[in-house]
Amino acid sequence: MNRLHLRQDVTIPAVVLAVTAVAFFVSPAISGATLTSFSVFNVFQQLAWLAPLTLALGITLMCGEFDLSVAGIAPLAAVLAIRFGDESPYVGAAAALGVGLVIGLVQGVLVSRLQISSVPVTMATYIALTGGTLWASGNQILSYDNSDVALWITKPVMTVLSPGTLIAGALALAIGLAMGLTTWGRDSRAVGSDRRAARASGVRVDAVLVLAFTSSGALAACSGVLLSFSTASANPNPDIKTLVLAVVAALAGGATLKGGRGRVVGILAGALAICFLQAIFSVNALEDSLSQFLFATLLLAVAAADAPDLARSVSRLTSARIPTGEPS
Amino acid sequence: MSIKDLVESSPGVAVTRARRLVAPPRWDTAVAVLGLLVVLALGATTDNFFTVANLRTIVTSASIVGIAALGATVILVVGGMVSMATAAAASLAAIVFVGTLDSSFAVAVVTTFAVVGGLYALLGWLIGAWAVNPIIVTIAAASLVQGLVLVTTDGALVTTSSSSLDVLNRRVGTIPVSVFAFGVLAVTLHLSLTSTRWGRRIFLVGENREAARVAGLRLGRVVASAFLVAGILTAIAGMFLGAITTNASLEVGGNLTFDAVAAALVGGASVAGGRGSALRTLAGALAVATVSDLLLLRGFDSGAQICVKGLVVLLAVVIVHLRSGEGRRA
Repeated sequence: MNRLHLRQDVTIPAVVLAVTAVAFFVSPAISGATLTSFSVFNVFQQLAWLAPLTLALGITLMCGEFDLSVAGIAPLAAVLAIRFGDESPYVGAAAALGVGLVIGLVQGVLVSRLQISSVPVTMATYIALTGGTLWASGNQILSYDNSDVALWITKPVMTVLSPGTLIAGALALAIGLAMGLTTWGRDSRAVGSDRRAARASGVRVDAVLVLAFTSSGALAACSGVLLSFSTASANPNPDIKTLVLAVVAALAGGATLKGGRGRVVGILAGALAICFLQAIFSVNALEDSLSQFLFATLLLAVAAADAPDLARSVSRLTSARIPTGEPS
Repeated sequence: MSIKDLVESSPGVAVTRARRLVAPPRWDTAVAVLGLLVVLALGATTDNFFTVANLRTIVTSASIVGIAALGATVILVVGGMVSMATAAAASLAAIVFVGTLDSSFAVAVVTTFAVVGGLYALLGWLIGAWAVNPIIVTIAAASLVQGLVLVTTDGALVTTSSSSLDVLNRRVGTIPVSVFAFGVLAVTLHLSLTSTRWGRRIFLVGENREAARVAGLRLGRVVASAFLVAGILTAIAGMFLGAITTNASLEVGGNLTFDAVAAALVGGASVAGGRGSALRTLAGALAVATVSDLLLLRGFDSGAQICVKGLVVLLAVVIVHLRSGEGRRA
């Protein structure tokens, strides 16, 4: 498999990233807009919260599962980080991460032990978290009084990076190393490819699933904390657009809905590509609804391309049109 | 009829029925009865719960969500998991309905059904014919609808000067017409699912997609027809929402996506497909509305209500899964 899949998991995201990066740098020349280092800085600022969220989705996609609750964990973590971070941002971040970990752990145990589909479980969790977040925030956007944290986390480092981006990068590096240097990554892809075969070959399927959902919960919480600290505010209302961005990024990063595919480096490249694509709209002052159209269409196209029966339909159509060469 | 008679008349079916007659009450029934008792006990200790006005409020609030939940039930039964586009589609329906009402009521209804039903049928065809992931494709559809509405309405409220809107706000006695619509639609859908060839096909595809394919069913058409029905039901819910608010915007759909799925799942429909009942969804919608009402009367805010709703859905999902007695994976 693995050489072909490795190539697909890394090469395709790299190509997508290259194309979007070129488009980002070239498009202002066509539209007449001005591209500054601040534009690039903004791309990496968005990556700081999108990368952990995309990784959260990607890790469960590798195992053949889909964690909808990440879209609920991130806003809850943002609210908790601000609610408990009055005295110290570390306390706020720890509270948010702890809640994300526990939610992920509970979902992982339910999915693995009961052998239940992750979609209804994570959707129910998402509904509960949506309500819980509104409850915790008092149904209002919270602002963070500790503005020093926001100033620090968005302070430019090497012109286009920031401590927030570097924290997200360090998280991705840690997950990437853990997956690459241990059997975690290989086992996750094995579980996603063929669960029965993985179990038969000695992979501890339940443990892999619990680890995937726990990591997913923690990463989604990190995403929420980084976003709330960088904007010094927390919006308790989940946004479908955020989920669309994360799903498109994960799929562009080499993960598939069928499971068994994806690498951390590819998923990171997918997230950065989406940040570049998103920035093209803001740099060139294009309508926000256009970007919504684009990402929804991309998601539709990627989902259709990933559909198991599309290949069957295409091959049936092709074989019907190609003459067999038999004598008439 | 005795158990022996049952067994002798038709061995396969009769043995199952005979076992049901002699079997002790199942644990999931006990959980449902326990839940009902808890709600009744809480209701008895809550001011104004057992009043005619409050019961009417529960039934009314269950009706519009329930109509959308009937659509969610058809999607669940056919194996289309859940539509993440319900709220967006209901908002679209409200916008199209209110926006075209100045022509005539009939034109507005037909246009709304055509737009939302057509969108859902297309999604159903993609899911049926190509096995496109239903969650992803409906998330994309919701996002597309939101973008489309923003472009066409510029985010403004859509209003109408037509008095035809009042048709959907009428009451028969003290009961809103939406309640009667919910009842009629639930019974009609129940009969369609249980007594027609279309219903049997929907269940077969949801129960075993490959078997349905081998049996010669055109999956694209069957799933598209199920989604078409779901789209029309969602459109009806959206039209009622538009009528209540007397204008329409993207916000009209609110939490309808999850409220509808919650009612269908609490009603025992399975995300794995092939299981679900319109009448049980009716009961599920009433149960969810009752719990929300109880929390409201006891002073809990909307956040707490949504949170409890999510936990109830999680419990229902686990119970339905355990009752089915099958693991999904190896």
